[in-house]
Amino acid sequence: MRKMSECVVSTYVQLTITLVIASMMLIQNSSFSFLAEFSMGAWLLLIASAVVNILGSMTKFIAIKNHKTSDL
Amino acid sequence: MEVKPTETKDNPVKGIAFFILSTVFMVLTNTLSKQQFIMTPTLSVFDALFARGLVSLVLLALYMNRNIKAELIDSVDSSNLKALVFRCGSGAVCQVIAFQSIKYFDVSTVGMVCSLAPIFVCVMAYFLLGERMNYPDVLFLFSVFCCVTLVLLGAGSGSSIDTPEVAVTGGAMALVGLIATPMLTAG
Repeated sequence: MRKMSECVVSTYVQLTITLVIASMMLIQNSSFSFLAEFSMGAWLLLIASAVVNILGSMTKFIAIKNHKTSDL
Repeated sequence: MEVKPTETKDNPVKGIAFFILSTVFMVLTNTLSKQQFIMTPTLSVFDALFARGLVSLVLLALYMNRNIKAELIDSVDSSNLKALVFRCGSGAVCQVIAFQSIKYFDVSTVGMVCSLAPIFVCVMAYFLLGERMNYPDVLFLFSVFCCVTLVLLGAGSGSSIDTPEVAVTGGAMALVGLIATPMLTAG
């Protein structure tokens, strides 16, 4: 079996989340204008959160590839 | 397809080191998300998830650079497809519940609930992946469960909501995601 890259799973998970949430927001007639209302600090926090989240997913995937789940 | 020996070899030190690193990153993510909700009180859970998902996708696309097709399409075997779909579905639900928990609870309470993960992981890994455990492991897991339960019973006063059901559900869903990930590599 060919092993997948660490970022593949993260990408598919994030893609699913974004599409599902966007669909739900459209169904609820929610506006996407909140993105324009973010302050510089909020944007920096958002980017930092996204980077750390990706790193967290990738390191977890590497860990599970290297050792059995129950021990981790 | 041929499997490289280095890919299948068990490396406990590397595995544990990366898992500890992952835990630190996840705690940091929760803290940053909580800070986001504090900084922008009008932000709903869906708004926060959508914004983070969008930024994450942009960052991942930049990271993969021109190899997006090779990484996302060519590297996925048909044998992994079912597990990948399951992982994406559980990951999405997990993130919604986790953000809901983070918005209304203290990060420390949510972190404590997530400490119950090993118990569920071991039970599910036994049934889904056929992994075995020793008696000392079972004993230690039981002691973890007792400790976390004791902490949670005393954590109600610090939360915005009196009952920790939402956080418990969030923790449980995180476990489903944790189990789905090794299924991708187990085949």
